[in-house]
Amino acid sequence: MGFLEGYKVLEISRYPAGSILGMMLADEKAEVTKILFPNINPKQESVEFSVWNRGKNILNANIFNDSTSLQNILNLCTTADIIIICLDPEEIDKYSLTYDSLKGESVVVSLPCFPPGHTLDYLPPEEEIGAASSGIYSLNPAGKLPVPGEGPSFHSLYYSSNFAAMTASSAVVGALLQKNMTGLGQQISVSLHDAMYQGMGGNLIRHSKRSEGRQVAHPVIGRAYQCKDDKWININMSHPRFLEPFLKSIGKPEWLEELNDLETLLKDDLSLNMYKEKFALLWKEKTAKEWEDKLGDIGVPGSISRTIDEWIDEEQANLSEAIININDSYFGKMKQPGKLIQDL
Amino acid sequence: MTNAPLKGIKVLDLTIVLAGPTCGRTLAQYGAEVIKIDPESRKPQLYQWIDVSRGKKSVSLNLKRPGGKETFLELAKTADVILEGFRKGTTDRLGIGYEQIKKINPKLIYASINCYGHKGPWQFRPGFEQNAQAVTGIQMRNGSNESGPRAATYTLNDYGTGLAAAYGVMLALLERNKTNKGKHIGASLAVTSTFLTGPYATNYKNKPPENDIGGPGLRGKTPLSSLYECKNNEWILFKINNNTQWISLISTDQFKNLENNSLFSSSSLREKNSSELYLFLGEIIKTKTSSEWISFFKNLSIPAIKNTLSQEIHSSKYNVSRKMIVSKDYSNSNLSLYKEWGQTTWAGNPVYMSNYDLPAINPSMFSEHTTETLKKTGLSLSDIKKMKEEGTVPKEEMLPFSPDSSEPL
Repeated sequence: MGFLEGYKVLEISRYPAGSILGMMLADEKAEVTKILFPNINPKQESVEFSVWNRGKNILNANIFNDSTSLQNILNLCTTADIIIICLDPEEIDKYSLTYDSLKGESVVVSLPCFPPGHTLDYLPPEEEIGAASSGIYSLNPAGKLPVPGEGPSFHSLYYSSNFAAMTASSAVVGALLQKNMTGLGQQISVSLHDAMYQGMGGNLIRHSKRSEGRQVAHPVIGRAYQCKDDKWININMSHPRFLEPFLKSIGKPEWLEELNDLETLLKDDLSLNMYKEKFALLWKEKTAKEWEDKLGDIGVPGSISRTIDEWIDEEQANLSEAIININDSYFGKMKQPGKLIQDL
Repeated sequence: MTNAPLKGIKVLDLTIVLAGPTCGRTLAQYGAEVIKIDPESRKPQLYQWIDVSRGKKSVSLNLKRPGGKETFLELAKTADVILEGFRKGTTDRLGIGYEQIKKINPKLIYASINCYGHKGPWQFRPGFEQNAQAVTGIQMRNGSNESGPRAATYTLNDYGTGLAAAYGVMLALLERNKTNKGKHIGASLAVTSTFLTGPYATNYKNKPPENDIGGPGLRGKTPLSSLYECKNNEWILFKINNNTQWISLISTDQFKNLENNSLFSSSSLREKNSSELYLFLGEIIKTKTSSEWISFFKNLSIPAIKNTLSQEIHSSKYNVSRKMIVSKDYSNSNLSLYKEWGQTTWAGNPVYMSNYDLPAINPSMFSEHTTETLKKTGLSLSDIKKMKEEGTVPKEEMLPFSPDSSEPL
């Protein structure tokens, strides 16, 4: 049972953003048909392909080199409730895959890298292009913006593709709700670059007393500490509602007043450094797992900085369905990320 | 907003920090009437309010003080959606859990948002963005056990979970049109974080030990899809996907030395000699400015982009002109509380829909809509006055926000 049972989706996507949106709809049991054609990203028989195309019907049709295949797909478009287009910008016009050309009653959602009319709208919806244009590789919250001399840091997570898909998902359902009232389809466009502005969120907020996008950290209480077993614990307890029970639990309730009085603390280097040292040493008294369990028991936010592989094997990941078991046609039995929404 | 997808939908938003309020803001963007409900003691920081409470009415109501819960339940009778992000069990103890609300409003959609998921031994634990990043492996892949974990660039789990929850609420509303029944849905930061990790959060037979790329100073997956520093110390990323693009690159004067270099004469050799290729390309890229390279690659139809800093995005006049950075000056407001905000900016709306113009949504003032909303529940002005005296609602009609500080994210 899923929320989108009975809805038909046609996915014409060369890039991850379109596949991810298709997966989100397939996870809710929409009947998603993905058109497979040459030079598709992700490639077939890759982990990316297996994850982002789970639950879909795969239809092999070389639509960009075969006019009959293209016409067959255009005919299929007339029966789809939702059509996902995520292609190179020039392909959309060349093969008449625009909303106006399709002329159906479908919801047609396109996921370009930049919105139409933008000075960079010629660029394809490649993850790395969307990500680099959105500052994801540039800001290092642990230090300055970016860390001097370090330069940007690449990572391979598909944030801008995911944010485009997640942002578009609500718009798609909004369009279906409207269609229930009007009977009309419509065009939706969400670009990878612009979708990331929602992910930047607070970094883009300014007001009279906020001249930059960064958050000011507590001068003593950091976020990550190395424990007795050299593993790291990430804590989030600078707020008094967490700091107070924590200090009580370690028998140091007397620290609370000074740690909360930031104005005084910042003027007193000696106290500041003393508390920093005490706080860092504290975590060396127990293993990361012992601290994590203790913090969990007293209701204070804290978790071990795990590797992804450690998280996949964690009981909580599996019981909470953050990780699910899939029988994939290529990889066989497989653990994959779960769907975003749980029916409670 | 006569054609808004969520026209006529009333949402009670009890959430704080970023994830839950992002869900409420998204629903407001699609035309729902979203009422943000907070006790006076839970005033958020101003930047968070501007960020994620835009488009909402603000009601200050303490559910633990006399008449607070009863007033909330009265609002809940006619609501379509409740959003909550309390630790599990809190709403049940307050008498506003899903099963309790369902009895008075069986058609209601109830969305619960937490850190570690709604099942399993950690479902009761509190947590924030950083905890979800840590536990799901995001921070360790950005750093290392030796140098320490490193946080991701933005608070993407929070915002992502808010978007996910909005998707879930709207799906449940779509389903309700057919079934006429309510639903309890859940979203959580760790589930979103795992989802964002995508293909790296997998396990299968014969999985290679290292499929996880990240860490300080890493520039890309391959030299042909990497970040490079230019002459003006800005960085660009270009991406060569196929042999046609490679041929077109090495046919240019700038890269012609690559053409006859036996180290790079086939795609397998380029992969094998990737370190050498990275250094080779890096030396060439260092000879021109970022804008020169962007034009160069555009002419070759090779995707290339300047690596951008968030403050550059913020200060871009182009982004202001296309309303992706919204700037509003409150300095001349008649209300002194608004006046204090001064020149204010936030992110614009990234969604285009042909049959619905997503509206510009602005932040209200804390508690601005308390009296008018309470009156709609049947309370008289004297009832509200009594609630003020009993600490259920604030004495003032509007209140300033807490200053921005190191509130956990």
